[in-house]
Amino acid sequence: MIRHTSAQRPRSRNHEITCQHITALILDYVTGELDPQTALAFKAHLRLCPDCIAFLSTYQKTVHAAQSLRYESIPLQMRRRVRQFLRKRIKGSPPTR
Amino acid sequence: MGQRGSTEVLHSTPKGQTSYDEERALIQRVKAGDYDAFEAMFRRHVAKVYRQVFKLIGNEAETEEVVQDVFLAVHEKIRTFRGESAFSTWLFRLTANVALSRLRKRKRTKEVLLDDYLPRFQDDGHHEVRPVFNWGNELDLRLEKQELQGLIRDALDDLPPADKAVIVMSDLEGISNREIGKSLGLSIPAVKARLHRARLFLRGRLAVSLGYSPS
Repeated sequence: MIRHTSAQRPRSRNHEITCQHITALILDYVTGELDPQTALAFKAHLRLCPDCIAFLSTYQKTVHAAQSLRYESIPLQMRRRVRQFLRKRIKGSPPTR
Repeated sequence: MGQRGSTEVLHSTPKGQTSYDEERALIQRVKAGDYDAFEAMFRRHVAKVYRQVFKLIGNEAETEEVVQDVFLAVHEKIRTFRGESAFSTWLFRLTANVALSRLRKRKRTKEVLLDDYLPRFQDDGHHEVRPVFNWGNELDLRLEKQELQGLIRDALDDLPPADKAVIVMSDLEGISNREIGKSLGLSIPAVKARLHRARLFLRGRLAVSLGYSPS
């Protein structure tokens, strides 16, 4: 959470958002949840700040990379072992097939 | 690495009976103690439960134990399922909590300081290390797909359990923040805070792997 000290309090709207604020707001920005005024200020900052453009790009790339992870389905042998375990534990007897 | 199709086989249904009705009937039978119905439920859901657990747990041995625990819990707690949500939702929440309990019991062999990988700022709010490099395209160019996936999985394993659960559910499972909050007992702002921190940590780890500063 970003706290403003009196020294940091902006004098005008154009200086309202710092790179630190941008970083804190990125999640809501990429999901479109920023209120219109904050979204405008966010975009205005990006127009002037190559550091934040780069940061936003790497943030989005990170999320995309995580979303691209692939996982195998349950191995057949594991499925059989779990089924047998459950039968033994719950019914106390092995499966008939 | 790719996903294979499920090998489960659904029983044929009477004409006109929907999948929803079929599931409700199955649940009633399980509640009544019908073990064949429980096994049918197992066949229907085990593939999805496995994937959900593996994404959280990260290794096959523990995943197998957790999947066993999940279905034992299903058998034990099915009578508490009242149908207020879909069964798949109920099962998803149950699975998340069983897996999270296992994660919390793990002894952490090395302490990874999250702060070491989070961005830092100067007093005036600028990034501490400037310029910030856009290394996004280098991920694909410099890292093999499997290497990148390994890096991400290792980083996820170093997250605190609740943070890991949130980012896995959000970014790997595509679950809404509202549903994540309900599953884990967190407010939506708490979910978003954890998600954001986990993403920043993951970003920092990827940056460091490419030779850049996380700041």
